[in-house]
Amino acid sequence: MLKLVGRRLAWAPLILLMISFFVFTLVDLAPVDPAVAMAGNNPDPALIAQLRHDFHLSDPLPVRYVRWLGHALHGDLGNSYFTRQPVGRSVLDMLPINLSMMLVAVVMILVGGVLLGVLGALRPGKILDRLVTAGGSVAVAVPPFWLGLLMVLYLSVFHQVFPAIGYVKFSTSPWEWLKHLLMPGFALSTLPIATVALQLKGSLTETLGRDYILTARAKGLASKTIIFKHALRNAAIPVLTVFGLQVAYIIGGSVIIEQVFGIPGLGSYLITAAQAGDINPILGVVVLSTMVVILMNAAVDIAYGFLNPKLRA
Amino acid sequence: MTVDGALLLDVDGLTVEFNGPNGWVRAVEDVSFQVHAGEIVGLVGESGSGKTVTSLGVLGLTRAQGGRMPHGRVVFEGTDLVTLDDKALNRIRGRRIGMVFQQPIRSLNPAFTIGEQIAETIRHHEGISRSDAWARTVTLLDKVHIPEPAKRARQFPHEFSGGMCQRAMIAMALSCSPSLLIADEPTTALDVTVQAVVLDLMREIQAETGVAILFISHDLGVIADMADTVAVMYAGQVVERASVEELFISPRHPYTAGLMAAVPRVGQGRQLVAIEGNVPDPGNYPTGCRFHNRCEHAVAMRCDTDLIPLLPAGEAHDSRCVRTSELMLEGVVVA
Repeated sequence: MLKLVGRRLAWAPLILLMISFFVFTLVDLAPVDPAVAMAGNNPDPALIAQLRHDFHLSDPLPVRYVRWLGHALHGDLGNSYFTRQPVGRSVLDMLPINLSMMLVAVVMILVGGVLLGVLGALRPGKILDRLVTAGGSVAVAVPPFWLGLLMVLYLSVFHQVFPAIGYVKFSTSPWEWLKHLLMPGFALSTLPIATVALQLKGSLTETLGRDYILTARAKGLASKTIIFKHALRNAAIPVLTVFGLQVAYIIGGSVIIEQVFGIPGLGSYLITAAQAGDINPILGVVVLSTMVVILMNAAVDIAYGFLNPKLRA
Repeated sequence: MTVDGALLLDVDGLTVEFNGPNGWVRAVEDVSFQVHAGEIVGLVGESGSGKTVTSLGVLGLTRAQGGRMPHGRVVFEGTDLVTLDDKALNRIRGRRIGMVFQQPIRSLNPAFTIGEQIAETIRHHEGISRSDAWARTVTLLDKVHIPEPAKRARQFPHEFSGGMCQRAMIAMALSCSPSLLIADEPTTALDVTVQAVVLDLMREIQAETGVAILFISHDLGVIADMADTVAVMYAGQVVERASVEELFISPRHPYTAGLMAAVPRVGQGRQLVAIEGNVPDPGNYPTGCRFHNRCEHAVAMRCDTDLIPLLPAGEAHDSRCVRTSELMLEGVVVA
C-alpha cells in the first residue's frame, strides 16, 4: 500500500514539470503583453521596449521557461511584474484562506453527503430515496456562483444572518472566521454533496443486499451498527474516488466563489495576474494547486488501503 | 439416534409473504415442524421450495427483506418469536440461535478480520472485555480446527479458503453457546472433500456441545447422513415429516419418493427417474395439491381441488397427500 503511494508520489515532479510548461506556453499564447500592461495608459514605445528588455520578455519561450524553472527549483517563484512582491510569499500568505474554504467545504461534503446518502439508502424506492434522488439531480444542475449570489441576497441583504463579503483570520476570531466561510463553503459544496450522496446511496443500497449484511443481522447486531460499521465501510470504497475528484473540483470552483464573496484568496490573485499576463503569480498558484491535488490523491490512496484490506500488504 | 430432549423450537403454521408488483405473494405457507434439544432436523427440498425463507422466518430476518408473517407461531424456548420486535429478536439472534449460510466467503465482511467479526458477536451479547472476547475467539477457531488460530484470527476473509471461511462462520454461530444452530445449505458451495470435513466438524461439535441443528439442504444424501428427523418441503409447504429411517425406508408422499428415485445409487443398474417439470413460482401455485401436475399418482377431482392438510401417515409420520394410504411408494434403504 505505502509502496503504491510512494510510486504515485514519485511521479509528482514530472507532473509538476509538465503542468508548469503547459501553463507557461498557454500564457505566452494569450494576447496580453505584460510590458504594455506595465507601461500604463498612453505608453511610450521606448518605455515598453525598455520593460521588455528588463524583464527578458523578448527571449525565446524555452529560454524563459528554463530560467523560471531554474529559479523555481531553488525555491524562488519570482516576483509579480506589477506589485514586485515575491510570488512564493504572497501565495503562502493566501494559502490559509483557501485551505479554510476547502476545509469547511470538505466537512460539509462529508457530513451532508454521508447523511443524505445513508438516508436515501435506508428504504429503497420510498419517499426519502426519491427525495434524495430528485434533490441531488437539482443540486447537480445549480451553478455555484448563482447559488452564492442568492444566498448573499437572502441571508446577507434581506436578513442579516451572515456577512456578505470578506474573510476573518481564524486566529483573530474563530467564530467570525466560520461565519464568513459558511456561505462560500456551502456554495462550493452543494454539487459535491449531491454527487457524493447519490453515489453513496447507490453503493450503500447494493451493499445492504450483500450476504455479510444478513450475517450481521443474524448475529443480532443493531441496525445502526450494521449500517454505519458493516455496510458503510464497504460502500465507501467506490465513493472515495468520486470524493477525490470533487475536492479537485472545489479547488477550481473556489476561484469563482472567491469573487462572489469578496474573499482575498488565491483565486482573486490568479485572476488579477491572468488579466495582465503576469506569469509568475499564475505559475505559482498553478504549481501550488497541483501539489494540493497530488497530495489529495495520495490521501485517497491511503484511505483506500484503510477501507479495503485486499489493497494492503 | 433417538431424541428425548425437550421441545426447543416449535414452528406451527408459519406463513411468510413478500410484497411483489402484484401484491403480497405467499412464499411459505403453513409450515410446521419441531426441533427438540440436541436433535438434528433436516429440511429438504428443491431450490425454490421455501427452505431458506423458512429458516430466515424463524429468526424474523425476512422482515429486513420486506417480508411479513401473517400467520403462524415460532415458539422458541417458550417465546413466540413472531410477536417480538427487532430489538427483542436481537437478543436471541446470534446468542440463543446461531446461523450459518450457504456462501461462506460472501457471508463474511471483507473489511474486517475473521477474529474481529467473531469477537464482535461475543462482545455484543455478553459485554465482556475486548481481550477476553479475543481469547475466546482464538479458542473457538481452534475448536473448529483452524490451524494457528491466533495468527488466523488476524487475517481477513480473502486470506481464507471457502472451507476455512465456513469453519469460521460455524465458530461465529457457536460463539455465544446457542441452543439452536440453523445451517442453511452449509456445504453446498464447497468442494466435495471439504464438504465431508465440514459435515464431520458439525457432527463433532453437535456431539460435544449438544446444540440442536436445523439442517437445510437440497441434498438427500447429506440429509440422510446428518438428520435425526426430516421435513420435506415443496412449493412453500411441508409435504412430509418423519424420522430419517422411516422417511427413507417408506416415503409416504409421491414427491419424496420422486426425489429418492432421482438419486443415483451404486449397483442397482436402474435408470434414474427425474421428476417432470419445475417447482412452480410463489404466486403461481396450482390449486389443490401443489405437486399434482407433476405427480404420476394424481387423480382428477381429488388432487386438484381442495387445499390438502398434513395427514397422519404412521407413527410420527405425516404426509400432505390424499392418497397416502392407497399408494405403495419405494424408498431408498433396502431393509
